[in-house]
Amino acid sequence: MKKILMVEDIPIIQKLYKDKLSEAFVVDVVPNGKAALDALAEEEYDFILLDMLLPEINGEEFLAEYQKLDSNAKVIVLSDFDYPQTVERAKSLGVTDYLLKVENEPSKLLEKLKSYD
Amino acid sequence: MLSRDYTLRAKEQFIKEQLSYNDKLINVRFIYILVLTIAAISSSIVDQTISPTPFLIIGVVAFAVNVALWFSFRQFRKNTNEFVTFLMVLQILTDVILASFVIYSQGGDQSRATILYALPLLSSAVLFNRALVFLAAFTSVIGYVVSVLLEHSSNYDGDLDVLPLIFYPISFVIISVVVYFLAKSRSSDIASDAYKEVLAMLTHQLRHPLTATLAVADTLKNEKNISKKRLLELVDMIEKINYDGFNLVNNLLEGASDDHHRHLQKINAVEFTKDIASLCTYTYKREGDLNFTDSKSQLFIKVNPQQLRTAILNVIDNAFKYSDHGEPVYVYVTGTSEDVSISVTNASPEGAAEKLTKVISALDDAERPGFESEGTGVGIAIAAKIVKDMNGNIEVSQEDGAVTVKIILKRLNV
Repeated sequence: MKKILMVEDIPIIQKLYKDKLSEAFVVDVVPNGKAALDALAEEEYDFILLDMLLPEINGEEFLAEYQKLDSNAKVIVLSDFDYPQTVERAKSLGVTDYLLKVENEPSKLLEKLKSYD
Repeated sequence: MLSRDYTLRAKEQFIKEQLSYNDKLINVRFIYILVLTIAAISSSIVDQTISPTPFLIIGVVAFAVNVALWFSFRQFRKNTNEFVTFLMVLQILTDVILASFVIYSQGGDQSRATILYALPLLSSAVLFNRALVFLAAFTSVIGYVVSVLLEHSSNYDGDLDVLPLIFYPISFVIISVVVYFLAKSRSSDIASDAYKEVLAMLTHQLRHPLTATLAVADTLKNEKNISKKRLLELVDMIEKINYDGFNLVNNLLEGASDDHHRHLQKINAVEFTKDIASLCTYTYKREGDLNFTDSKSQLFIKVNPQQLRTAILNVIDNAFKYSDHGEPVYVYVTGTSEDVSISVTNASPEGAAEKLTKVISALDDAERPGFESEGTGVGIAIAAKIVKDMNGNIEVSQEDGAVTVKIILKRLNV
């Protein structure tokens, strides 16, 4: 099974998405960018699902640090923050896709992630 | 709160923009002063002057001031907008004084060094302030006219040429007008971007409950053979999501409101806090986790109860939200002859107190707008705003793995 690292700080969102995505993936959840960098130092992942506004290290800061790592995981932003300049910056930092949570319920996201294979 | 957050965000963007332009300007200034210093030294050597000429002294002084300003900008770049502006004004004045001295020492109205005024005039654009742009023009005009007149009176060599005294000051004013309009256009772009960003942050917060509701609906539609236990879990989530949604709307309304001086009532802080704490334990289904202690006396305060309710609710809610089931949350209401303190303590990871303090201090400086912080951000920021508006104080401390948030209000002696 492929592995997903979900970087999300809202407990309910963590649970609802993890429950669904666990049908086809192994899902680890961390609450912020700093914990995500720590997790990446320990484990290899196929996908990183990244929220943009996070405590400690936010999404943009995480992406800048992630570029320095030797990781092949595809980064997919899953956020409700769609400020155009942030979307542009995230894309320039190499994200595979920028998805809005409000348009990607758990089952829809599951199908999308399968299609990235 | 929205307008406040927008103001902070715009302020933050202005400082960022100022520093970014100034970083480039500093390099230009550095080369400019270096060239002048080299010219002064060369001039001293050619003239075979043993003692330093005034030109050399001013070159060295200007060089030292330049290095000091360069260092200050890097050292204090996280300081307030006012301090950055102060340094920039100082920099512009130094450039005007330097240009004026060069004019004076190089033949007054005959000098071709008038071009040196271009640096302070153009760099004043970075200030994004009409008064300061025209102040740069005004000081340049005064500096030029005074240095020409002084040079003429000290080295009288015929009639004064009036044409440069009219032409150059008018040129300075024209350059400043152009600079002002360019800066104005850029500053409205920055303000507009800041407004859009704050709206995006607000929208993001409002979308949380909606996103969670859609995710629950999606789970209900797609999960086969849902057990009663799972169904109850999802219903609990819907309750929690709605509670968060209402809390968010209340926070936004209370944060935007300026009602803290109106609808004042005398309330007993002990009973008032106890009721709010009970509501939180019910919402989080953690009746067993609440430890409520009070001073066993009546502690009266005079406040707008609706607003204080929001503030206390946010602090207690934050403690329940960020602690696990089974972990106690301690609520104390104590008093002195002057104050009433409402303290909320819960186990927290290292660094939690610094994070909360940062959110609260964002109210006092332009470091970070409240909406940018997730979770802990909005509630605590609103609580701090309400308490400060009531002339109270909010303090955060951490000891032995537990964080305490304390609301301090003036006691009403009856």
